Amino acid sequence: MSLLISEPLGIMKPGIDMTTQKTISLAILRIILPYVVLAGLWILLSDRLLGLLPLDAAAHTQWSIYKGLAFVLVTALLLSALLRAELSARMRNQAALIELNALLEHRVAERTTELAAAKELAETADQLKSAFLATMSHELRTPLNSIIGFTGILIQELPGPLNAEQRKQLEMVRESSRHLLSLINDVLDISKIEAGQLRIHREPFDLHTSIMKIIDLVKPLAEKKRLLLHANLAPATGTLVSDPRRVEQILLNLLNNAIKFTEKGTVTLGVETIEAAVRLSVSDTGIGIKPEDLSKLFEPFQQVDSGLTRQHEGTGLGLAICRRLAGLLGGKIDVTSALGKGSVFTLTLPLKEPEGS
Amino acid sequence: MKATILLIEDNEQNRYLATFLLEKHGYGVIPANDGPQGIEHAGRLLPHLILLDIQLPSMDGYAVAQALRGNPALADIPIVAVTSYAMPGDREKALAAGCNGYIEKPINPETFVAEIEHFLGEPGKEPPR
Repeated sequence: MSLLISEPLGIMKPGIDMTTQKTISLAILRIILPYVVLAGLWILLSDRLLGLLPLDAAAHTQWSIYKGLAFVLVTALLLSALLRAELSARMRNQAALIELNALLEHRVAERTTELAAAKELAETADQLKSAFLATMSHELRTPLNSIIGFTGILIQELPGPLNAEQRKQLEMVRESSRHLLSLINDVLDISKIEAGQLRIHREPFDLHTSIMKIIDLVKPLAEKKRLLLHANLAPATGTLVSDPRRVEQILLNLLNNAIKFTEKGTVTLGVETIEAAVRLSVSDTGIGIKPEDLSKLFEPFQQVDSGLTRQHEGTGLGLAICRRLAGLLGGKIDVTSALGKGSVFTLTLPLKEPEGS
Repeated sequence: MKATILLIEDNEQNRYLATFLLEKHGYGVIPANDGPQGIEHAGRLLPHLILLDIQLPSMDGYAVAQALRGNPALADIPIVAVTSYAMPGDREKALAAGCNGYIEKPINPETFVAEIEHFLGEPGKEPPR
């Protein structure tokens, strides 16, 4: 196929290149060479032949004239035959080229149609996926709305007073239903990201305020496990142009994980600004991660199973979502860990919207 | 008697849930099972606020919001979409259809009433009838 294409392309090139020059010289040679040979033979042989005939001087002159005329006639016929052969070869080549061109055009058109069909199919599949996500989102949340809602109403004692046991059990229902909701949200988030449907809403916001909000959210969890929770904020921590909701989602997830996988010690959030980026690091003194598990960490549904960790509930989607979100925000997440000593997750984000996005 | 709220919601449990919460906080609730019934109630009873589910049978919430906004008598009544739809563009679509706000399901029973009062103006204050 590549050979078929390269030939017509070479001829279509503007100007005369070396190959074309050679072809022309060869065609001239094919015409001139037979002509020179025939003319030479004629001159050598015809005079010798004429000399053999018993003729007087006047007749000899007369025959010389006939011989000359015959020479012109024969060479004319010869030249015309040679030119005809050369030209018809040319024509045949050109016809073949035109045919080849038509064939190529036809193939291109065919491919284009195939591609259009494939694109349409992909778009249909995409629409089906979107519709499925929307439906799942709705169908799963509608019953949860009533579970979470009525549980909340009962705990608020709006319908009437509760005894201690009833309150305890209803709080368990509320805890489980909130957990179920976060699982549904995770599954929907990862599906949206994979389908390319997650939109990033960039706006300037105060990173310090966002961090304090998240610290307040995770503080009760750390206190419950008697862990120290530190936030080392550089004084320069200021305005960031990014999606605040998503940045908070990543931070919350990293801090929740750190607390979840740490039994004693400290969870520290550090913030520093480096050139045009801000680096947020979450370090813990928890169980750590085996070196061979580090690569699996950000794969969806891959909660690292070391016997110990399986006791921690979760979809195993959190870090997969975080890494993809960081990517969508123009940043990244890195991890370093020592087994049994702790881990450091570092989120790096551009201070401003990345160029060309 | 505080403000009356028109609640357009097709799911029976969720309708009961919102009605219970709102009535406990002293609001009058006019329930409607679907769009056409909601539009009819709105035109006749002129509520102070309309809570609108988006996923409704036959006539969806966007169409209901547009129809409500088509009636000049209802122009000043805030419409708040309450929906489990959480896909990109849903919020924009609800606002474009004439809603003033958007509350995502599942609702938080502790903050739901406060969120709605934000759209009613000053909390606790009785709106003019």
